[in-house]
Amino acid sequence: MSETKKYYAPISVSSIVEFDPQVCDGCYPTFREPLCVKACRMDILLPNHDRTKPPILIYPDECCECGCCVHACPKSLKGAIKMNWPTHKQPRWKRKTTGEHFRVGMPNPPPPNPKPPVGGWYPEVKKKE
Amino acid sequence: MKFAVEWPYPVNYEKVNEVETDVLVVGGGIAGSWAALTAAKRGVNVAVVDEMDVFSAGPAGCDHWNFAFDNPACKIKPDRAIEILERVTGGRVTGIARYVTFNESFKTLLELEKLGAKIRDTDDEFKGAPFRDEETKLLYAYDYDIKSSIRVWGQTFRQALYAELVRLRIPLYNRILATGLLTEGGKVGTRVVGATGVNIRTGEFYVFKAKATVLCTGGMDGACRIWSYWGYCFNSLHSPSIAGVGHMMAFNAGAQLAHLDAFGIGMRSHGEMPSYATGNPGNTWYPCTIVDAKGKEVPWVDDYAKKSLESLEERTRSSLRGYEAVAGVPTWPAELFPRPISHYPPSKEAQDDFFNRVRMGEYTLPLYADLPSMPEYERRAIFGLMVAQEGKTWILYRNLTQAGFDPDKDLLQSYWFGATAPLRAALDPLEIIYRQGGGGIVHDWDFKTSLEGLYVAGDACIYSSEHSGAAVTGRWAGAKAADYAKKVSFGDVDWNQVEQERKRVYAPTTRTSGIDWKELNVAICKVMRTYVNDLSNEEMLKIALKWLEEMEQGEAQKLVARNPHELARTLETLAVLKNAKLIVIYMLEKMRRAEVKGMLTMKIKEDGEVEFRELPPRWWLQPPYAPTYRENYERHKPW
Repeated sequence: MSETKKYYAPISVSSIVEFDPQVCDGCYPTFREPLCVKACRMDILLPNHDRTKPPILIYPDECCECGCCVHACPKSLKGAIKMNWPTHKQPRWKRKTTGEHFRVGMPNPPPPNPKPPVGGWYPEVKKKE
Repeated sequence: MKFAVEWPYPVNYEKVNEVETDVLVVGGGIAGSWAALTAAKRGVNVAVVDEMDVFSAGPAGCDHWNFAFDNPACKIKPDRAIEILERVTGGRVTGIARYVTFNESFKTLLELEKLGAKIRDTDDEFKGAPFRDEETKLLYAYDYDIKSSIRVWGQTFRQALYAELVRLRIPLYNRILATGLLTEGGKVGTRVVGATGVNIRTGEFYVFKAKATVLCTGGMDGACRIWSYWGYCFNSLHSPSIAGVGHMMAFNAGAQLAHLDAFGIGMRSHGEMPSYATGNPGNTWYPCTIVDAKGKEVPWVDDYAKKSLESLEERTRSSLRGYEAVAGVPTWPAELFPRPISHYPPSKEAQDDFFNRVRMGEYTLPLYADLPSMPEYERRAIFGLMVAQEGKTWILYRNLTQAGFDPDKDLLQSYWFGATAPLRAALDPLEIIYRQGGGGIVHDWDFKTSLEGLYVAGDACIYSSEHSGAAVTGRWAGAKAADYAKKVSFGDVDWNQVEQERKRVYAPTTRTSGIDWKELNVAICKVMRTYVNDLSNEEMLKIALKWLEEMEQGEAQKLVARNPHELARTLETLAVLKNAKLIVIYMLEKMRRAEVKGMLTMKIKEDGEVEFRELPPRWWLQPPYAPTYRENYERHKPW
């Protein structure tokens, strides 16, 4: 019977979605389920059995890299969750004045560019009557 | 480190839940959300079912709001736009969804704004920019003369729709994959009386009884699983769960499908880099300057006007290019847009010309998007607004800036240059990697399908397109479905049909050895890439059909699902297999007919035979419909 049978999902070695356990609290107890889990379009984040701990990534090859998990995280700007593009998919660029080459994910990266998007990271959504 | 995690949700493959609702919306993306909101406002009970959580279902983003021909500021009016569309596509496009969109796009955007979405530069960050209307604070895109596309804060759109669905307490059946439509008497071709679904976390079964059903399940190959599952579009924003399940369901119930051969040609998703996170001059990045490794600017050409463009301003104003503003019509055909000679050259000669210039040393690879050379307002609009605020590309802005990328100083490498999609297909027919726009479920001016009780909206329609198209058709279909639901009573669910569907759905959970869905999905793609492409002949299609049918009887019967998640992917893959087969059958029939002037439709009959019908050219402007677009629009308008 279904009550007695246990079900499992395999865990792969992947850091395409990476949590900082020092910052992530599994959205506990604010939200019924972690918001990254709720947002994941592929349903490949499982809530941790210990709800105060970060969710668990399963089937990382199904990730469509939409970043909805990072976007939905209430602590994303504090680094609770990151999306690391696979090594072969890291965009590259060159500084115009110096000719230096960079890539996302490089060792000893340059300092982050702190400029927020137009309208801020999370523009307000408020119904107008 | 653990190798497996215990499934955190209670699994029960035996349980059957019954839900009754006036209007059932299958798919809670943009079309589905609008359908649900519009139907609910007409006073009927509505339920939404989606494999994802409606919180982020559907495309979950919008960078341009397109087709806003009903915007008073727009220089092209809806009737002119449909005329241009018919001309440039040779009348092949079915005009219903497009014409309705052209007339309702801007109105719908204003509705969305009322729900809280951000569509205006209220902070005056772009004050004085040539694409800004100083009075309305709207920011236009592509062609600043024409004003049919609007740059928006797309990440707020999904949120605004979700908040309104929650506020209206519309039941959202999240994480439930719809598996089939229920028909009166369980028969093919009768009224649709509901749908079945399976919860992808608990494995529980759902029977939805509905007076009207609206299919908002996206494109047939929205996730590139028919031709290209492995390593191409996959993993680049195309959610693999948009697997054409709606098309399969509609066909099995007896609805008409058409244009199944209208496959587009994909772009290997921006050089297999995260989409839109590399330098390019088109689409989200239009009209970004491209430079070579030595900083030399790649010149832009306007192939339509056959002239080189000297200034940035010429790229964004068709009036300066000296012709009637055809290219002001966004997104189709993309070939009408000016571009640098390095990107999307219009012919093989033009591509060879650029490659030869590289060989001769005139340009030095690699190429880069030169944001620093752009005026501040363009740079900020492209990277700070379009990339950052679309929604799904928010992560690109986040990751690139966190890694130190600065659009004021840095040249972002361009990985994807050379051929346009059609040219790419001509050069390498096996490059076909996904289907786009076109193929879909046939519907009338009410967005009703050929089946009683079944409506369709968004990419599942024939020739709907883009976020604005999904929003507009969703509203329209939702209103029509609600009006229908008010007039009828519930149909009877045939429980034999339910039992049969349960047997089909849970079969993969009963097996302990066999193959997984990924193996079958890749195998389907292999067949499609090998035999179903621009070079296909009857023999190739027959071989394809043979292998697909063999897989249907063979490998598909060996699929194993070890938990509800794997079950959902497995069921999607079965839909992919079915749809692949439908495409081949459709193409074979078209090939056998010497000439198809109008639109070839296909459906399944009760005896299991596939029936083809040729509808006359522009059937949507012939009896029982009115002879003009305008009259049909006015006659069928739900408000």
